[in-house]
Amino acid sequence: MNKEEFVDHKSGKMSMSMGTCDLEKNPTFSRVWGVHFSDASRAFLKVILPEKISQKPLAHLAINKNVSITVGDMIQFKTNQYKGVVEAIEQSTPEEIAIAKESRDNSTDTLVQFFGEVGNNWSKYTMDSGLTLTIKITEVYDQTPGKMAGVRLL
Amino acid sequence: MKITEELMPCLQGAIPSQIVTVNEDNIPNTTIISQVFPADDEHVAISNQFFSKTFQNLQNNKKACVQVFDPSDLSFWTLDLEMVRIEDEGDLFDEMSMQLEAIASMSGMEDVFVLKSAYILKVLNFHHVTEAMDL
Repeated sequence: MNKEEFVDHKSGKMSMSMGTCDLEKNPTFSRVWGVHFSDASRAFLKVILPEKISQKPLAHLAINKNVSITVGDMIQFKTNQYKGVVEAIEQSTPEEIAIAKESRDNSTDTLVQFFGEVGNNWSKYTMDSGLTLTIKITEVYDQTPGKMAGVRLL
Repeated sequence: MKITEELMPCLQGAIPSQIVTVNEDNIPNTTIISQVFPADDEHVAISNQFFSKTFQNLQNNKKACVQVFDPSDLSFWTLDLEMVRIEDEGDLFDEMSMQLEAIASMSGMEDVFVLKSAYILKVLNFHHVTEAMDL
């Protein structure tokens, strides 16, 4: 698969989650936002982690930098999984927070279509301050429901 | 840990959930799952439709974490779990299979969503991630 065919997560109506774990193999989930490629070669992902929920994943990343990110298109079900290694953790810039908010707001619109008024609660996910994780991509998998589920793309 | 009443709406299959497991090299694996089903007051069952890697990981490391959503306000919970057993027949399997058919019908995935087996996991801990939202 050509890297250019990977789903564009920056402005799409996506659900994004990150898995981390400690060295005793205890995993946890973090809801992340604004997952996007940070370079033209698409070798790196940037992920915005809201600071309010960062305590546990940061504790994991301090001892184990392996992560898994699943990004699913809420409408078409097209889903990709990225595995990689966190190379940098920095305070999010205003531009990165804006990307995160854009991804949240786009997915809010979709949830309103599915769930009505309660879908607007999605916009209450806070991201006034965030941490931007730069992840070197090591593996990419298709997780779209169907025959391709689990197939390694990269 | 006992599953509380306030967690029950999250286990009705209204919104897809996610699961993370870990392989022998301490690499996490995340994927979306259709069902996190209440098996009894201390266990949940998750539907195995595709995920061979999740299955492989659970053979080597029984720990998992799932993220579920409350359809009433879209807040989410995380559940720390431990694999107990696999079922591919019986009342629980049949009940999950029927619910999965309903989910598949609503999402136009009748030919794709077929239950292979149900993984039964003990609930070790759960957390309502209220700090993530300004509700």
